[in-house]
Amino acid sequence: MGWLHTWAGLVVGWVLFFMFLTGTAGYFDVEIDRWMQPERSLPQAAMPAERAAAVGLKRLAAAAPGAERWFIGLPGYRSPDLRLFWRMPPGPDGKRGATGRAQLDAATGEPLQHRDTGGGQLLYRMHYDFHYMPHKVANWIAGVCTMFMLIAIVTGIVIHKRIFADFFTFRSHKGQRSWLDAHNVLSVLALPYHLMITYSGLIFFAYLYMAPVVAATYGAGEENRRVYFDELSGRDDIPERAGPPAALAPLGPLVKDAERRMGAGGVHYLNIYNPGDANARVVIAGGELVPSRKRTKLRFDGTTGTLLRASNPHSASYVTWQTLLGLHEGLFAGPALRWLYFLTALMGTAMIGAGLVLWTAKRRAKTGGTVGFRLVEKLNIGTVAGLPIAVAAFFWANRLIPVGLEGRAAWEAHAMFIVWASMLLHAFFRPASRAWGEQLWLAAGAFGLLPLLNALTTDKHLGVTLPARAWELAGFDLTMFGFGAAFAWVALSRMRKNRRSAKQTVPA
Amino acid sequence: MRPARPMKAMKEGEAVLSPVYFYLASRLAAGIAGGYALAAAFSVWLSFVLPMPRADAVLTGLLASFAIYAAAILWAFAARSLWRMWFGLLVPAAACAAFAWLTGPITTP
Repeated sequence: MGWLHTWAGLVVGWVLFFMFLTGTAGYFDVEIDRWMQPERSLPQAAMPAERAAAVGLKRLAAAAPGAERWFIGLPGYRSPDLRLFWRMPPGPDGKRGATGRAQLDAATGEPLQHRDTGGGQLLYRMHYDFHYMPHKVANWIAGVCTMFMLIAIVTGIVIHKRIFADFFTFRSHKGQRSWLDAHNVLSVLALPYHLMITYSGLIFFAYLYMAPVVAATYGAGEENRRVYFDELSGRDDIPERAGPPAALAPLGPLVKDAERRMGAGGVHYLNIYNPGDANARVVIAGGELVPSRKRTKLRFDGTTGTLLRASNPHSASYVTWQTLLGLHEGLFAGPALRWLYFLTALMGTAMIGAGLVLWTAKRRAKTGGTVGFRLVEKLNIGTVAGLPIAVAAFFWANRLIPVGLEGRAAWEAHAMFIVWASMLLHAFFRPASRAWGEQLWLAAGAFGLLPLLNALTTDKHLGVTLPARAWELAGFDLTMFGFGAAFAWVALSRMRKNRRSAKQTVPA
Repeated sequence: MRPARPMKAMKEGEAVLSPVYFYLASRLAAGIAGGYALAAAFSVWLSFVLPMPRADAVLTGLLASFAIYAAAILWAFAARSLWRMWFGLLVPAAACAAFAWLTGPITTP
């Protein structure tokens, strides 16, 4: 099992490091979005739900008359904007209708004005969609790597003889022993998280990875898969379009009724099915955010505004499924739990990094000169130190690429991957020890100087955001500074260690 | 679970084409392909026999599949001999597939 653990972890370790790092950033995707859109005004109080719904409705009626469904996402916890979405009815060929979306300022109801950027959403989507490849290919690669991760975790537990003691064991400045301790501490402390995030990660795309299981009942192909998902989730009981047009009931009283039941600010979104038709339905969802992603849903007749009977409760398997996905996403987590999510995910990233470094530390004495060893060592440097630099470059690019440049959002991502490639090249052309030091210091600078760059290029810097208590913006700058300090600390202790061992080896 | 002996015997720097590597590669292939077959067959069988609406039964099969897959991969490396390994993977997979084929999907939608 030890053999399996080592190799399952090593072969895909660099991809897993990428997935964990970008996924960790995903816990603050909305906050990163905000930081990468510095033209937006400081967060303001959103308009009341009733008025937001009216503003959204007006825009949807103008943009997508005769739609199959209108969606109005109301501003709320970690969703500062008013989000609109629509889907037109299926065409005569039976294909699903066209969709559209819009994002409005929740304080004014006007479309958002900011620089073109992929934002935190792009960074977060990379952890399963990667970049420069079709989604399906990326999802498959991610799935194979996640399966390796699951094997690495289970075999890691099997070969582990002293799980409890390793909670408290860290021997620093002991070379290989320290890396093993670090790998163990990071693994064991956050083991439930690692298991949960890995298994649920597979469950997200289970319909893809285990397509034969769906096909055995429903038949192969996308169409049949959609029947499965509709049966599973489509429980809003929406009737077909009736034909004769009918005016939509005023939404105000419905939203008010929903707010009375779900609490002020408790309404998350509205779905309006068959708007303008006699069979229109309004489904208002909200309530407390919970791990099982369950929301209170109120179904109204869209023309009379009368409340219809509540939909059927979900089955146990459905709730299990949704809880696994909900725990993975952590959308329910308030600020304290969100930080805990972020820190445990960082520990997962560091666990993979430490495991990769441990592989080389263990073998340096015996097989240090072989091609395989050097390849692993270089990939480690260019990824464990180089990838964080690339993510920092993504943020630098957001501030440095001219606002008017054509395709600037794409260039932000290009900048990230160009820098990552450069770090890998750098690792291959420099002696390993030098390369580690140089890249760690570069990471320290790239993160530590981000708040300064922000102050030089925008008016949403710490001097403004701290007095305004705009924590979602100030928190980004402070966290980046913290990362910079952490990298500097690692680089410094490396230098000290090297100096010590140099003294020991050189006879006096 | 006791690791199979030939794995223990493997040493650093051994030639890639040595019998030990062949032995490991065959276990890896068995774990990945045979394990997938077992996981898929088991989950299909489960989705056919569970007394619940078919969408829920399929979902339950999917939720369980990766646990089966992981266990099968571990088995591929833990089994004492290659013969036992293949037996442990293919017999349950064939049994699940046969039962699933006999019962067919449940009809209650």
